[in-house]
Amino acid sequence: MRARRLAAGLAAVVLGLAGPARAQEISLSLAAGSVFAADAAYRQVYGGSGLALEGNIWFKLKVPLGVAVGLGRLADDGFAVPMDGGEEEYPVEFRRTSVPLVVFYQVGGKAIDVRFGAGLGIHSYRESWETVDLVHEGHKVSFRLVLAATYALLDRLSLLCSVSYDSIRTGAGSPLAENADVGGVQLLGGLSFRIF
Amino acid sequence: MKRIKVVLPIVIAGVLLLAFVFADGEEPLSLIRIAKDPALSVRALARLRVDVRQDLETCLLAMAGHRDLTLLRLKGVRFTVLMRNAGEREILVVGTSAPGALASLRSAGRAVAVEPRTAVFWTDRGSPAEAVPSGLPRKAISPRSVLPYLVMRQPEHPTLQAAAQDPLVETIVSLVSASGLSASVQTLQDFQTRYASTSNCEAAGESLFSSFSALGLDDVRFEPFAFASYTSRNVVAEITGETYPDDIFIICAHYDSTSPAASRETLAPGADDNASGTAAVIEAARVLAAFPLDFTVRFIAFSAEEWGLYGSRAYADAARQAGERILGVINLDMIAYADALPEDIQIVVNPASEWLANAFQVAAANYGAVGATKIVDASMIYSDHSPFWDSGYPALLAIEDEPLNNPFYHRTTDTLDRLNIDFLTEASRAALGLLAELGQPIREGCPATPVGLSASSTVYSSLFNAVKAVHLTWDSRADAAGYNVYRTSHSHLGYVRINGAPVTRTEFTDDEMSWDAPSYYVVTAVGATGLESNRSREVAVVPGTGSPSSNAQGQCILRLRRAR
Repeated sequence: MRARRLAAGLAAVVLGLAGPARAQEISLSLAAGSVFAADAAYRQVYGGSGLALEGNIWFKLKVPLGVAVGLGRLADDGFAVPMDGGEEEYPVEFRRTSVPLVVFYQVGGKAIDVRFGAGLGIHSYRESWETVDLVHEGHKVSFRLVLAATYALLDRLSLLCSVSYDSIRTGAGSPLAENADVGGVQLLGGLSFRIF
Repeated sequence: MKRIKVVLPIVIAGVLLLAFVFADGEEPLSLIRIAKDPALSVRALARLRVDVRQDLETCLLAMAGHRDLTLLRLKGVRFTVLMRNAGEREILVVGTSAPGALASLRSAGRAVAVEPRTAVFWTDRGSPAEAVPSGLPRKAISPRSVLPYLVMRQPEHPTLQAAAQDPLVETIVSLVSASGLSASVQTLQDFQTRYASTSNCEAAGESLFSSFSALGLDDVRFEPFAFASYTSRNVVAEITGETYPDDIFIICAHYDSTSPAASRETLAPGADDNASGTAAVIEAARVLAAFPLDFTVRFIAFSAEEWGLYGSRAYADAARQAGERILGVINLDMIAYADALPEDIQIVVNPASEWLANAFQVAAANYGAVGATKIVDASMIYSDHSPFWDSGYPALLAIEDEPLNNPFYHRTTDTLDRLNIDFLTEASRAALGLLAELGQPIREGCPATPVGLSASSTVYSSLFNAVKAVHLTWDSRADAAGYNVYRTSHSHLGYVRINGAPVTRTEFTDDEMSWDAPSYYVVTAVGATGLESNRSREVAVVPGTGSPSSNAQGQCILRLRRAR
């Protein structure tokens, strides 16, 4: 409930700033990379890292503050873990869609900008077994930390590199994980385009 | 020097205290009542090595020495001491639901209420079994720990699906004879009394032995035992299973009787209690004697039940010591008095035996025109099913009413003319229907019943889900063209086939079950003509620890046992 209130509050801030807020700068970024799962159980099932894609719109104000809102997607494939030495293989897949809402502080010079941010991630996730009729779906709001840096290539185009951390304790689990965490450290690289 | 004078006595006192606490000598035992609260687990009791002697619905009765009491206190287990120096005493658990029962018990000896309807009873001199006021149900407390067999869990309430009647079982059940039942009750009543310390009771035992022998049953025998200062005999007979001779189902009843103290040694007709149950056992033996069975079915008439379940206690203890594989016990006690019509039958079980009550309900619906109501009550311990519970065997009590409503109970007026023979007949049919379903009459023309079924399971887990992959293997049958595999989540009830076409190998892997749910499996053999065998013995895959399927797709010919 608290997380939902926070999300709603942050959304209000974003909307409040994004429209009439006279953003000094609005840019759009697209990035791809990996998520390094925090949960050992996750790593057991899906391996060390999964493919992540994320797009964000960054609203930078006249002050060195701004907000970012985005849409992310994580896809991972793995195998169910035998708890006591079985030899069967049960392929499983994990998909996560996230909407990050972050307030950031920007510092930088002519070519390089660095953004430190904190906020929320609203996540929807789904785990399914390919050969057995088992599906688990859930939603979770989590705390998010972001560190992003851009390097200007052209007037409006920049290289983007970001590291973010989400702790997404789901409250659900299995014999392998009592309270599975589907978050972790996300490392992305991509491009950022300044709209104005 | 002054310090030594102070410290030395403290050290000595400490050493003495430790020696007292950890000494290995014999220590006096106390009888204690341990409240069953939700935090109490069997595992915790096992860790504390609690010597539990009786499981009741809301509490446990246990023997404990000083050290045990200290440990229990330290671990926060709630208990009350009922009696000190209880180790050598004979102690009874007595039902006190009748008005004034506790007061009359206290006037006869020492009694402490442990539950609203239950008290423990002992006497300072003599046998408490002889001192208990007539009419009060009683049970001698177990002489050994029942902790290894203790199950504490909430009752299940599976949906009982209407199951197809098995035509062969239907045929068997139809052979139950009302006149045969009536005649057996009359024969037992004619002994005037069957009070266990009398020669009449012994004569009744001889009569039962003759009845079983005349039916050509296997291994008819007396099993003597001692109680109070007397001896008596259980009468045992069996049909040895052809496929699973070491796996045993029992149908039993006590043949001894009682009436008020002044008359019980001369007149205790005990028509309802319990010539009725004994007659049903004889009738089941008579009918089933003609059929070869997969599993061993044992017919037992117990004695000295009215004294405190001494006959069944001796039998169940010996069976456990011998490691007998008793898979289920049907105890019939008072199944012929109808206080209202239509009368139904109460099936009393403890949590570990619940599947048996479920199966009885299905059998009653299929094979007896009688309703069956399940009661899960670990405190209903006053009949011969209870010692089986104490030994870890599943057992049910079938009884006309619980609590009892027969005004002739334990009186000289408990005679055949007070009974409802139609009710007795239908109750006997239901019990025999269940017994036949469990014992499995062998059908000629069908493949042999598979044997050697075993299961191993592995849990495969992802982040949010898990499956239990159960690998089943069994022995090959020469006359089988394939096999069907059945699964249920409630033991012996509602088997569902989980293979498509018959499996041609002798193994199968099932990964459709939830990892934390129990599952039970049986296998049948399918012949070249499509006829299906009886079910194999059930194997259970239970985390941490049926409805009868229609067995034949075609017609099977009954194979009758040779007369002996």
